[in-house]
Amino acid sequence: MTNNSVIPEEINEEDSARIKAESSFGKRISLSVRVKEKIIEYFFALNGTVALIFIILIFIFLFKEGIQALNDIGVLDFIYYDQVQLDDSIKRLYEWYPTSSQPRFSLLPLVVGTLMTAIPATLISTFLGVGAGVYLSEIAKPKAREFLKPLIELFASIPTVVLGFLMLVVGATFFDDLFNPTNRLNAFIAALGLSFVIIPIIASMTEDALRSIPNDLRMASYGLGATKWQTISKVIIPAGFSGVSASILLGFGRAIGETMIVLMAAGNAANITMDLFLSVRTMTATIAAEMGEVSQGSDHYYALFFIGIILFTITFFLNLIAEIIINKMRKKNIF
Amino acid sequence: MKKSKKIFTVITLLLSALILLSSCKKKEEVEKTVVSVKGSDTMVNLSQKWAEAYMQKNLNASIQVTGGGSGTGIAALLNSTVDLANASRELKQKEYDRAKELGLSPQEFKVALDGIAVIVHPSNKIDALTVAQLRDIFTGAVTNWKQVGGSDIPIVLYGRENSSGTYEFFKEHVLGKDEQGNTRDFANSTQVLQGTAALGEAVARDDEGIGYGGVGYFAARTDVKIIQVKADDASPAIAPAADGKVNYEAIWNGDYSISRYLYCYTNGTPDEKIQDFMNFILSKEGQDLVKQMEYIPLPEK
Repeated sequence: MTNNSVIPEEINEEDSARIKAESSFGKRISLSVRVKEKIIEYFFALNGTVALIFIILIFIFLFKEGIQALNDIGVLDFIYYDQVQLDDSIKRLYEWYPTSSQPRFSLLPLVVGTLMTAIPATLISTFLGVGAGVYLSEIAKPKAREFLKPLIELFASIPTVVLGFLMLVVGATFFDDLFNPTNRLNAFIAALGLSFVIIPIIASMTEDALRSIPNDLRMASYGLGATKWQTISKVIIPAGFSGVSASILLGFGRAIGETMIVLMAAGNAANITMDLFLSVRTMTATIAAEMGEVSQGSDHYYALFFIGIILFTITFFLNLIAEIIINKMRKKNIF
Repeated sequence: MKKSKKIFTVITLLLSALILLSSCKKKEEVEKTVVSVKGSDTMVNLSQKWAEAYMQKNLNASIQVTGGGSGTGIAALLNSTVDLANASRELKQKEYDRAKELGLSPQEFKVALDGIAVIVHPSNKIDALTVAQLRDIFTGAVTNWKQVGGSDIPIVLYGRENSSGTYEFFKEHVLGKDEQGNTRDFANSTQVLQGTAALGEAVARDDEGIGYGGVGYFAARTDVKIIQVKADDASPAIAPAADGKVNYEAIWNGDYSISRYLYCYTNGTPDEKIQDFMNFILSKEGQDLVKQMEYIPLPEK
């Protein structure tokens, strides 16, 4: 109901803007205005291109440095290391010890660590974020929404180092007293910290996706005698499913790429584990912790860049898929 | 037109001011002799202190100290981007080889000592451990405090990132080499913390925890307990610090097992400005600062 009262106003504003624009275009446009117009056009085109060039350059640099890892370290060395034992038997190790006298570069513990923080964080954030998005879009009164949406988005602007510190000092102590986990700093603590960053992303995008669903659907549902809950669960969420799933994918991508929180709160032990209360080490934290002191040009240095390539590829494809879904959704809703 | 003229004047004024300012700065730099120092995070505070005291005495000297780790400092020295590298370890063979490739001959100066203290939670019943026991604990061969004479609770390991000097030093001196001659590595389950302060915080909050770091840093802290170390079962237990004070004698004469020299490296024979700074570091005044910063000064000759 409230939506209906807002929409005509918007149309009126748009219309009046168009009428004004048309009337000014009707007059003869002087040469200087046209030149100015062109200059502005080129200026923005230049800005756009520069941004694109920078991204391409970053990718080339990352790839150039990272791919050199494969010269000395084989692809298989990034998975396992066969250690010869005293009795000549071979023990297969999945360990990350780049500076050992027997350098081991298995990325398995790091990949597991990343998933052990990113997946729980995304699960928590999906529940809370989608819930918050549905509430904002379907249930909250306009006044409440005007107040709550910026508040949720404000969450996203908290520096991650602050969140990390908060989890390290307050969060870890609280859950240490509550559950007495094996490690005080563990995957769960890091996942909780991560969800502070991801909830706003999912909530805000879910709200956008649901709000873009044509009001006719809601009206038709209510017209058939459905309750608000039935409308939300049977009509709105299925209709906005692609948008919601895109938001979850983007949130997951952010969880994988986030560095500061996991560096501070996950404890950084390279455990291969399914235990949420054990300390884990993520790919991002490894780069952040070790890049500072690594000697340039060493295998370790290139291996860190190789991890960078993997991270870049994962987040790139997650974002790409999300973007494709969002574009499809936009086309569908416009009809 | 008038407006654009005004803007032009303002821009010209600003530009000329900028040029004036930048030329002033240049003049200053020319007058000062600059020595850049980079390296070990363990040594950065000490090095900063030396620099400050030295600059107070020599007003036209400027010593710029940055941290980043021994490896970073040495790498920078080999790239000739710094004059002096602080290192909490000796140069590795690999680094000597690299220097040779580049046609450089790094010179070593011992400037101070550092002892590594092993710390546990104050509630831990254990007072002394042998080096072998420490090795078993940190390699993960021993996983419960009961196995080394403590309570029946698991051991939680805390350590430093694998490129820090403290990590390397502890690995070399305590973990040692296995039967095949490979250096032993820390257990997988070792939690990696950024810096000695963070490590101290973590152990102070974890009654199952054990960690390691500079004696100077931990001597005065009451929220962690410093373990006495025995070279082997028959040797006496030596405390690197007692009653909040560092046990200098034990570290100088090597009674305390986990101590090390700290080094400064220069490229070839140092020139006059660097040599003067090195002389200051090795003077009584410089070594007093070492003591003051809770490191261990060089024994007096």
